[in-house]
Order: sequence, then C-alpha cells, then structure tokens
Amino acid sequence: MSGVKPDPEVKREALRELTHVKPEDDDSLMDSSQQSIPDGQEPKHEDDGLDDLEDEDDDEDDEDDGEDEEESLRVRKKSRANRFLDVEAEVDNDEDEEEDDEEVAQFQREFVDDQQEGVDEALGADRLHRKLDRTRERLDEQDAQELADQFKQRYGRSASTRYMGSTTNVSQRLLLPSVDDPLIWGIRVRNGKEKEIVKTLYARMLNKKGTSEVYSIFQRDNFIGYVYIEARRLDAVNRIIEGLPGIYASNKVLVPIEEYPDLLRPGKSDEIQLQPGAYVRVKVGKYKGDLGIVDNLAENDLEARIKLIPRLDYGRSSTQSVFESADGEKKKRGPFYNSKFRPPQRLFSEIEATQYDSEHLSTAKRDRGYYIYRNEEYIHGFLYKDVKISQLETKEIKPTLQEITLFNSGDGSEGIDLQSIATSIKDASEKAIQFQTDDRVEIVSGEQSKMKGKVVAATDAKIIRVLLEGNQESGVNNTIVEVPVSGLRKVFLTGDHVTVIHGVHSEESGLIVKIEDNQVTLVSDQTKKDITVFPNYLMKSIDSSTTSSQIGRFELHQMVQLNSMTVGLIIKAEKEVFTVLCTDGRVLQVEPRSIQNVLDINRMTEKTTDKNGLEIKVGDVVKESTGERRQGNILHIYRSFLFLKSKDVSENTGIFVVSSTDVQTISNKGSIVSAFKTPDLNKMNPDRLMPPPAAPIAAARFSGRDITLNQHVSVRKGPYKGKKGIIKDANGEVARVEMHNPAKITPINKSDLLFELRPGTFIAYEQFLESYRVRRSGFGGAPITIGGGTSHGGYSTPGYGGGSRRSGSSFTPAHGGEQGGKTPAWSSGGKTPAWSSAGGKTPGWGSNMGNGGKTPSWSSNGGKTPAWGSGGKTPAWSSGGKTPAWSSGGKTPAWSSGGKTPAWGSSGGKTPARGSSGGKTPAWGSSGGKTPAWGSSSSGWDTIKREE
Amino acid sequence: MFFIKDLALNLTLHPSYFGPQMNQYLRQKLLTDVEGTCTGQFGYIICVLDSMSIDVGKGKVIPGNSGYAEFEVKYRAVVWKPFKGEVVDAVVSSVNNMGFFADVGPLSVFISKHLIPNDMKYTPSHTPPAYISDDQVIMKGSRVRIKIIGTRADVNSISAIGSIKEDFLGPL
Repeated sequence: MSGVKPDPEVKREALRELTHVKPEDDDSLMDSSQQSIPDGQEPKHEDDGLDDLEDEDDDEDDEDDGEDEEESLRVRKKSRANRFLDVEAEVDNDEDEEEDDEEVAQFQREFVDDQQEGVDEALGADRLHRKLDRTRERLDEQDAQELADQFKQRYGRSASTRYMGSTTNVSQRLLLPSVDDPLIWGIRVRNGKEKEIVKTLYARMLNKKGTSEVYSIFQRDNFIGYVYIEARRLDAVNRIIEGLPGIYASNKVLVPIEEYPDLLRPGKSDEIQLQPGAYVRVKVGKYKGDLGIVDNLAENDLEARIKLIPRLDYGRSSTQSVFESADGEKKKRGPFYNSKFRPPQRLFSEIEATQYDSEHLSTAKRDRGYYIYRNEEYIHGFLYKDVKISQLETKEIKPTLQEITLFNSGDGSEGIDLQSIATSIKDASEKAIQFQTDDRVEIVSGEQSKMKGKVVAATDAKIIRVLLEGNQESGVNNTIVEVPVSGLRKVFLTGDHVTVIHGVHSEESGLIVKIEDNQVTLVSDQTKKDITVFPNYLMKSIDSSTTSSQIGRFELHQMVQLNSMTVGLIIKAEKEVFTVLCTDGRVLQVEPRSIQNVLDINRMTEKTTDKNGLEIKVGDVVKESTGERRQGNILHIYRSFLFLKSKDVSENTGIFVVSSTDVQTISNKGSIVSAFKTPDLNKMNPDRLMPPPAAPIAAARFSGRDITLNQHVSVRKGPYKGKKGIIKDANGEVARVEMHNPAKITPINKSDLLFELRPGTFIAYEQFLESYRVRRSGFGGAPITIGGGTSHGGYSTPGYGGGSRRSGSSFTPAHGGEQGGKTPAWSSGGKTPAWSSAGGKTPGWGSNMGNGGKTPSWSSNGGKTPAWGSGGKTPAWSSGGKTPAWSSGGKTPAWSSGGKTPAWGSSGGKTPARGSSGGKTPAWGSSGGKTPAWGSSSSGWDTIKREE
Repeated sequence: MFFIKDLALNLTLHPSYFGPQMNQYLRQKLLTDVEGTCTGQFGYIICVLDSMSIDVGKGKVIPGNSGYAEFEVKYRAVVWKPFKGEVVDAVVSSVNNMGFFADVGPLSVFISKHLIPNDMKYTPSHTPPAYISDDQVIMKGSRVRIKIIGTRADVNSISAIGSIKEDFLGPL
C-alpha cells in the first residue's frame, strides 16, 4: 500500500512518550477521535484558559466512567508533581491526548480543591502567576497543537492498531471497520497514472482548502486504474479531485465496508524500488527489449535516466530521414522501428556521426566524450535517455553476459560488476538455481560467510541445509546450518564436467578450465569454445552424458531437411536454436520448428565416389584435392556433398562441406561391419575365404629378391603418369621408383606401373607377375616333362613338324650337333617358359605351353634379365634379336646365321616355322646360351643328362 | 595409468564357423574387436595379453532358428585410463586461438588458453600457428608434458582437458 500518511513528526513523537493509555481506553479513544471537533473549540481555549479546565471536567465525567478507584489514586499521586512539570510537556498532555487530559483535569480539579482548602493568599497569587505563564505558553503552542489535533482526528484510529500487539484478548472482529468509519471511494483513473495522481492529490490535501475531511489517499497495485480516497463525505472527495487530469471523476465507486479489509490487506508488493545502477529493460520504442542501466531517477520518481547502448545508423536508413522530412518539425516519437529492422547495438561513434550525419551532431565536448546527436545525449558512446518508469521493465531483469560485456566495452577497465548484477537479478535467478544434495557450496553472505560445505538437503526452495566441512576453523565443521539460496554459491573445481542449467548457454556441457571469483569458464564439449557463466548456473553433470547433444527430435551431427531445397547438417544444437551447415556451405541458425524433418539416411547406402572413382563411405578419411586441402573424416554423405569433420579446422566446430568430386581418398575406414545383420557366408567363414586369397598367397611365396627390382618401368596412373624410371627398392605392393626426369625416388604402387620388357614394350604388373610364376612352375616341372614325350609333344608344334614326334633325345642331338654338343641346352630350353616365350611369336609354341603368344613369358624372361646380364648376353637381348649381337657373343655363329633360318633349315627342314620365329632367334640363342639361370636348375640338367 | 584388467566379451558366431578353426577364429575376432577400442569405464584397451591361449569357453547356441552360438571369451588386456592429475607426455596435434590439442596415444587432450602460462601467447603469424613465449614454442608436432585436470568419459570415448600452467610442465 502506498497511500500517503502525513507524518505526525516530532510533536507526535513527544505525545507518544507521554501517553499512558491503558487498553481499556482504546474504545473511548477511538470514539473520541472519530468525533469531529467543532471549530469553535479552539477559540474557547484562547478566550479563557481556566474554562478549559471546566470543560474537561465535564468530559471526564462522561468518559472516565470505567476508571476504578485505585487508578485514580495512582493518577493523583503522580499528579502531585504536576506543577513542577515542564510546561510544554504539560500542555501537550492536556491538549493532545485526551485521556491524559482527563487525568490531568481530574488532578487539577482535586488539586484546586486542595488549594482552596489549605493554601493561603500568598500562595494563591504565586499560583495565579504560574497559571498565567502556562496559558501564555499554551497560546504560543497553539498552531502546533492545532495541527496535532487535526492529525489526531484523522489518525486517532491508528492508536488502536498501535496497541494491537499488547492486547491479546481483544477480538479481531471488533477492530474491523464499522459504519462509523469514514467511507472509501474508489475513483477510476488512467491506467499507469495511479501513483502520480496519488502524489498530486496528497499535495492538494495539504494545501487546498476544504479538503481536510479527506483522511487518506492511496492506491493498490492489485487494482489497476483506481485511486482510493478515504473521506466522510463525497463532496470532499469531489473537491479534492476536481480539475485534475487523468481522473475520470464520473466513475466513482463506494467501496463496501465489508470489503475494506480485503482492500487494505497487505500484499507482498513485487515492486522493486529503482535505484541508480539497477538493470531495466525498455518496453517500447526503438530500444524495446534492450537492457539499460538506471543512471539516476527524476525528482518525481516517474522518470528515470537510463544508460543504453545506442542503435544508430547515422541517417543511412531511409525510414529515418523520411520521417523527419515529412514532418518538417522535430518529431517526438521518432521513426517507427520494427524490432526486426533496427540498427544493431553499437556504441556511439563520433567519426561515423560526423561522416554521415554531421548536421545532426550539435554539441561535442570531445574531452568529456559528450555529444548531442539528434537531440539525444551520448556520453562515452552510451545513450543517456529519460524514460518513464512505466515504460521500463524493472522486474526479473536477467542481463545476459553479452549485454553486460557490451556495457563494459565502453568503460574498459571497470570490469563486470557482478555484485550489481547479482542484486538486480537475484529474485529471478533464485528460481532457476537448483541445489542438489551433495553439491559443494560456499556461503557468501551472513555470519558464516566464506564457509564451505555440502548440501545435505534442500527441503525448501529457498532454504538449504548445509553441512559445513573442509573449513580452516575446526570448530565449525560437521555442523549443519540453514542458509537461504541467495546466500550460497556452488563450488566447482577445475576439470569438473558440468552442465549449464540456466541462461543463454543452458543445456551446454563442458569441462571447467578456469574459476574466478564468481565466474566459471568452461570449454564446451560441442563447440570447444569458452563459455563464461555464474557458478550457480551450473550443475555437475553425470558422466557418460550421451544424450547431451540430443535436443528434442534432433541431434548433433544429424542430417536435416530445412525445406525442399535445403539440406544441412546440425553442427551445433542448443535449446532453442540449431546451427545448420547447408550443402552450399552456408551456416544457418534455425529454430527447431523451422526444421522440416530429419533426413533418414541409411548408413549402408551413404556411399559415393571420389574424384578418382573410388568408393567412399561414411567414416573414410578424404582430402580436398583443391583449395585448402583440408582433410577430414566423412560424417555424412548427401548426394555428392560430403560433410567432413576435421580436428584442424576450427570454424563450425570443425565441420565443413565439400563436393565428392573434389576429394581424394586418404584411407578407408577399416570398418568391421557387423556381419551378423546380413550374414555373408563367403566373407564370414574362414574356410570359404581360403580359395580367393590363394593367389596372393602364392604371389607372396616368391622368395628371394623382389622380382621387380631394377626393372625399367613406366608409370601408368597417378601424378607421375607417363614418366619412366627404374625400381630401386620394393616392399610388398609398393615399389620405390627412381624417376628419370625429376631425379628422385617415389613410392608407387606396383599395379600402377608398366614393366618394360623390351624397349618400347611394356606390360602390366599382373602379367609380369604371371609370367614369372609360370616360369617358376616350369622349373619345378622340368624333370617330369622331360621324362615324358609329352613335353616334347609340346614341341611338336607345326613349326617343328614331325620332329617333335620323335623322342626328345633323338631330336636334341641334332640340335646339339648344331650347337656344338650343347644339346641339354636345347632340351632344357624346350622345357622352359623361356622357350614358350620365345615361341610366343610362333603360334605352335604358344599353343604348346598354353600361354603361348603371351608377352608375360617375355616378362618372365625379363625377370631373368639380370642373370642374362651377368652372362654378358643382355646386350644381345636388348638389341632385340639382332643376330650381330649374338655373333659378337661368338657362341653361336651358326645361330646368328640361324637367326636367318638357314641353320634351322638345315637341321630339320623346318625353316618356315623357324623363319616365322626368325626375329626371335635370339631366344633360341638364349636357351642355347649357358646362362647361370639355366645352370641353377641343376636338377633339370641332371635329368636331361640322364636322358642323354 | 596402465592396468592389466580381466575382461570378457560376448561373441556371437554363425553356424558356418562351427568347426576346427572356430577357436582360432574367435580369438582373431576378439583381437580385431577389442584391441584399440575405448570404453568409458576402463579406458583404452591397448593390448590383449596371451592372445594365443585365450579361453573361449564353450559356446551356447542361442534359442531360435538362427543357429547362432554365443561365446563368452575371457581375456586379459592392458588398458590405459587417463586420470585427473596424471602427468603425461603428449604430441601437439593442432593449435588454435582457444588453446591446443595434444595426443596422448589414442587420447586427445585439449589444453585451453586459460591453462597455458600467461607469458605464452598465441601467435597466428607463426607457421604453423603456435603458442610462443620468450624461450618456448608450442606448435603442431611439439612434444609437451601436460597434466590432465579433467576427463569426461562417454560410452565409447574419453575426452580430457589438460594444463601446462604448472612447474615442470610444458614443452619438452
């Protein structure tokens, strides 16, 4: 209730001291106070002070009935000293407090009687003098007394309530207002103007004549739009309100007496007394919703000067200028601002103001940072504006840390005054703060300030039972104290994993990295960014909080559809806003409801191909082949868009989107796909797995030196495509190739190489390998084939003609003869792939070995090249069957000539056949040659010898 | 901290595996399944011990018409779990203005700028970006000694934050 009570001031205080009112007097007191005292009473006092006594004697007879004998005796005794009392006090006594007056009057009557009985003339004169003095004094006091009287008449009733405390047996019912009490009118006034009007009316009540019958004026917060006037008569009410704007005088309601108690029942006012430094929010206008700080309050308590962060565009927006020019005159309301389209909050910049809108910048006291721009004051970049308190939101202001940071940005060194925030948001925050059992807390206010403890129970929302422990003073530990929520602060340790439960960052979780007085900095799990919050906004989070990233139906790192065109990945999930990275690379902040649905993508089908056509799937590591060459793990694949997550990228929590055509596979996820969902027996069963790996295993069985060593190769794939080189080293499937042109050694996959068989003839690795293998198996089988005619049957190619039909031995000698008894060379040669390879060019030979006509045989030969080289025959080979080389070898002159077939022709008349292989004669020669390779297959030699 | 821990794993096997190679296969599968994985409870399973003599136990055929059998494979493994307060050596894997990440084997530890000595300043102009003080540099690839000050264990991952803001911590 904010009704105005005229303060009785000092005089009333004095009265209270001297008043000895007994409870029994209450009723009489109330009655008397309610009587309106006629104006004539005062002059009577002035006329004759002695008469006064007589009047009061009468009064006493009427009113003092209830007084018992003993009481009057006591009063009498006390009264003896009366003549020596301080005059002023005495006067107060009789004039102001009627019951006291009565006592005094009674005393005086008796006293006078006494005097009359036993006092002589001299004493009587003295007494008269004293009485005169007293009367004079009383006259001097008259004005004050008059005031006091008036107060008494108005508020005498309150005396009864004053004694309520001491009277236990007076029924409350008796104290209720009755028909004798003044009436209360409720008068309709303009909404929001109630307090203003109460203040004006109060001023009138004190000053305007004829309003003394108005006892009080008040308004109630619960009844908006009404002012209540307590008066005996309606005309007094009308008189006091007449001509006052904002009052709808025709709309008066007489409050029924039974409703008085309800009307006057004290309710807890949620009004917050604004104080400089308090936080407020503007309710209307351009700064609607903005946080402000009260700078000071106007005299009338109706306006406040608040400090705001300006929203200025320095005349750049058309709306502003249009508004001003259209009106021509200064417009008080200013341009209409939509809260959506208004300039962002930014400190006033003198530079911009002079640059864009200098005509409106009127005053500039640069030294003090004071500017007037568009008739508004800016100090140190902040806007200082007078705003009606009714246009301010004053309750439950919860400034965000960002806003406070903005406010502090101008002041620089001051820092955040957490204390002031704390007071302004105390009520609001108390609701949000939850204390749980076992929370570590510190008491921040009261006697036990600085004590630490543990919450044992939070029985009430407001009161927490705290078990003190871990304090320096040993005496206090293990005691339980009850502390209001506002006096507690949660205590955390660096490294604790916590969840924010309140404020902008609510729902975020992270590990604490720093703790200052009343601020905790934590690194968010989601964003890895720092968050600074009040400790009371935190809660220790339970480990393994897997649901922390799930908010509503959406989850972090989920593909969502925003509309038919836009698809994105949630990269940050907060309570009310999701940050979505779209396929086109934009980052959008969207509300949950603007997300259409979750894209249901089957992980198994999320596959695409990279730039090189290789399959990539979720979990693979790929790298951009252009641009920043970022590398990342594939989180999701949407059509050709890959969402990658990288630890090295800091923006968007390390997630970026690339096109699948721009990436290269770095590594495939060694995903152990749970095979049991779709049992693939071929993959599952180790026994079934056996056959396929047979080939690689066989390949791996090549022992000794790697067959590819020192081969001349050409690269057929990758960045070095087309370059030539020599294999210097090899390990498994990777060969280290010494390039010819950029003279360096590069590891290249063997399958990406072409092996040079002869100058200009290249074969793939697989063929190279196969030819080698075949030759090896040829070695193994040599004894057998030689033993049987079949092997020679192999020789029975058309080229050989019937010669093959005969036993190998019969044939060989012929050869041997030609070769100077080197028959074994022949026979062995016949058995080897080398032959077949040589025969590769002769259809007969090829058909014979089953892989005839296959270059691989050559390559297998190539595998032997080193051997040949050692034999000094290589040049001949390289020369590509140029007989001169052979002749230079001097081993087979016949051969060299034989290269031209005559030798052959002579041997078996098979010239045509040989002729067909004419270019290949060196092959023969090679077989004829005593190469170490041949020699190594000693077993073959032995058997051949045996045959011989 | 490293521990030797007795663990068990349930493996379900398709009937086509039932045969002489079964035990070997189960062992193989165990190794591929658990080695190098992380559980929030025990930390990282670094290595399964005595892998050749693992007791695969007797399998039980799971009721139903699938024919699968379930084996409880008991094994011992070396596990590593990071603890609060543990001092470890790490290799810096990335540096940004909020701090840097360092790898302690399989674990990635974040060292916030608040936990880096104040004289070490983030220098983005350095290539690669680094935290630099008068005599020390922390950049990608640097080796640092850190103290783990907090860990967060999820079901299958552990994340941790560390500090070098103490004596004897920092670049090695």
